[in-house]
Amino acid sequence: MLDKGETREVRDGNSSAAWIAAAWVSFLIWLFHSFAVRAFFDSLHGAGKVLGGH
Amino acid sequence: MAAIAVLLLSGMSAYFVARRLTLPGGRAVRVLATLVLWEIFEIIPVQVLASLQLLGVIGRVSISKTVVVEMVILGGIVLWSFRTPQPERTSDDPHQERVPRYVFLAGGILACSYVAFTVNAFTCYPLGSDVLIYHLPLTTRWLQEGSLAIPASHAWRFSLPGNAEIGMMVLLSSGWQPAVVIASWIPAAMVATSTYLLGMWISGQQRAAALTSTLLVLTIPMVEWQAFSAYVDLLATAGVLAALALILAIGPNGTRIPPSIWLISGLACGLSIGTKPVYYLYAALFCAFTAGALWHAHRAGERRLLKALALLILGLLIPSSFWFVRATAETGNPIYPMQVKLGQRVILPGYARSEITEPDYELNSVPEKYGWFLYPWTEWKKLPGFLKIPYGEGDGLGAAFATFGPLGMAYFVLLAFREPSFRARNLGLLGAFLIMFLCWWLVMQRVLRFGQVIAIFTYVLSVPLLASLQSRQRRAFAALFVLAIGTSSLIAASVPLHLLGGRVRKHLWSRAAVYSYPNLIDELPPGSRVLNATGDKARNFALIGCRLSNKLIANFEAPPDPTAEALRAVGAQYIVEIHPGGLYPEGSLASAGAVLIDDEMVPSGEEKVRWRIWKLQKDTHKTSGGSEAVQFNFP
Repeated sequence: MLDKGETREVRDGNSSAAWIAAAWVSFLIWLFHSFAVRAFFDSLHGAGKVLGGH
Repeated sequence: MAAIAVLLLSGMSAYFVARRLTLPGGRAVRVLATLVLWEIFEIIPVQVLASLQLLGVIGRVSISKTVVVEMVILGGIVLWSFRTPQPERTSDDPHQERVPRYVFLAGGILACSYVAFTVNAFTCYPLGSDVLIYHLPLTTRWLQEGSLAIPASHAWRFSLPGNAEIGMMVLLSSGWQPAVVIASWIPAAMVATSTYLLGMWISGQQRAAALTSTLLVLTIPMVEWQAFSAYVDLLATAGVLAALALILAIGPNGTRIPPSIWLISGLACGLSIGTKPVYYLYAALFCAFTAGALWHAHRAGERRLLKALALLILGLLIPSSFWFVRATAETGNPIYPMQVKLGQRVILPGYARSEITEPDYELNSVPEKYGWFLYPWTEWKKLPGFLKIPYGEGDGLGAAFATFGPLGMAYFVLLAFREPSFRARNLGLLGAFLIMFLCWWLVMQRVLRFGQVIAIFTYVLSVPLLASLQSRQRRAFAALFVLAIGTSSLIAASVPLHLLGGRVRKHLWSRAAVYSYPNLIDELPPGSRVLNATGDKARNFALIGCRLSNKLIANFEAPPDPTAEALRAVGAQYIVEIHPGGLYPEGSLASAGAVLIDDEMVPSGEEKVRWRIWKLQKDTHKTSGGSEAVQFNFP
C-alpha cells in the first residue's frame, strides 16, 4: 500500500517518463524532418565539390 | 591601438563601478551589471562626442578623442571609488549544487562549435547580408566623415538608432576588419548571464537547470551566427533580457531592490531602445513590468518609489536619447525612420513598415503563415544559400529547441493552471509570453530574428520541465540533452569549417578574393566616391576597399537614372557594375560621359562574374573632380 506522498512520487515518475518520451519523439521528428539535417548530409556527401564555394 | 584602449578603459570603468555598487543576488548579478556598464561606458563617450560634433563644438568624432574621454571617465571613477567604501559582501550565492558531468560534456561540444566559428571569423572578413548591406557601410561612413549625422539621403538604413554600430565603429577603427565581430561578444555574454539568472529565478535556485537552459540558448543558430557577425539584434535582445533578469534576480524572497539595480536595469533596456526600433515594443512590455515592480516598492515609501522611478527613467534615457534628439533635429520625427500614421494621415514623416520589411518576408522561412507552428521541426528556408543549410543570423532554432522548447511551454502551461504554488507568477509569465507572441505575430511581420527574445523566453519557461527531467529521468535526459546539443553544434560548425576549408583549398585570403571583386577597387585613390550599381546591395561594404578608403554611394542611394546631372548630384566618381544584373541599362553610363576603365571576369565560387568599372570624366564632374582627402582614424 502506498501512502499519499509515495503515490504522488509514483505519479510524478510516470508523468516524467511520459515527458521524456515526448521529448525523444520531438527530437526524432526534428531529425527526420529538418532541412538542416538533410542539408548537412548532402554537404558531407558532396564535400569535395562544394568546398570553396561561397 | 585606440580601439583596444577604448575597450580596456571602458571595461575597467565598468569593473570599478560594479565593485563599489551594492548589488545583492550573487556573483552572476555582478557579472551582468559589469557587462551592461561596459557597453554603456563604451557607447556613451562616442555619443557625447557625436553630440558636440553635431552642435559644432568639435569638428570630428574620432576614436582618439574617445580614448581621451574614456581616460577622463576612468580617472573620475577611480577617484570616486577611493572615496566610496566597498559595500559589505554578503554571500548571496546559493549553495553550490553539483553540476552533472553531462552538462560539462554538452558545454564542451558547444564550445568546439564556437571555436570553429571563431577561427573562421578571424581568418575571413565580416559576413552576413545586413552587415554588408548597411551596418558596416554605415560605421565606415561615421569613421570617414567623423560624424554620426543622418545622411542627406535620409535613407532608412543609415538613419536607424545605432548603439550596436558604435561598438563596431570602435573595432573597425583598428583597421583589422574581422575584429568587428568582437562587438557581439559582450551582448552574447549578457544573453548567457541573463538566461542563467532567469533560470535560477524560475527554478528556485536550481543551478544545473539554469545552466542547462543557458547552454540551450547558446545553441540557437541565430544566436551563434550573430555572435560571430555584426548584426545588431543580439545587443537589442541582450539589453531587454538583462533589464528583466537584474530586477527578477534581486526581487525574490522580499529582497528590496537597491537603487543601483533600478539604474542599471534601465540602462540595459535603454541600450535596446537605442539599438533597434523593433525593440520599442519589448521595452514597452518591460516598462509595464517595472510599473508592477515599482508598485511593490511603493510599500517601502513614496520617496523610495520616486527615487527608483527617477533612476529607471534616467537609465532608459542615457543610452537612447541621443538617437531621438538626432532624429528630431534632422527630420522632425524623433523615431525616424519609422513613420507615425493615424489612419491615412501621416503625423510624423518616415518610412512605412512595409517599406522597411517586405510584407511577405516571412515566406522565406515558411510556405504560409501557419507554417510557423511546424517551423522548429522543419527549419525550412526558401533560399538556403551556402551548403543549403538553413541557418544564419536570422534563421534556425536548432535541434534542442525542437526537443525541449514547445514541450517545455506545454509543461509550463499545465504547471501554471494545476500547481497552486506560484500560480499568480506563472500565469503572469504566460500572459507576458502571449503578449510578446501576439506582438511578433501581428506587428513584427513574423520575422524570426525579431522574435529571438521570445525563443529565449521559451527556454526560460522550459526550466521547470528541464529541472523535473534532470531529477527524475536523469540518464534518458542526459543522453537526449547531449545528443540535441551535439547535433545542433555539429551542423552549425560544419558551415564555418566548410568556408574555412574552401578558403584554404583556393587560397582565398585577400579581401578581394573573399568578397569576389576586382582588385582595382582596392587600388583606387583614397577618398574615391564609388557608386554601387552592381544590382547587388550586399556588395556595398566590399566596394569600400581593403583600406576602407573609398567613399561609398550605396545601392539604395544611387540615382534611378544615370544622367550626368544625377551622378554629379550624388558625387559619384566611379561606378561599379556587374554584368548582367547591373542597376543601369547597357550604354547609359557611356552616354552620361563615363569611361570604362575595367572590364574583367572575377572568380566567384565555382563561376566567374563579369565586373565593369566606369570613371566619370572630370569635366562632367566639377564638384568632386579630385579625390577628397579622407581623414582616417586607422592606418
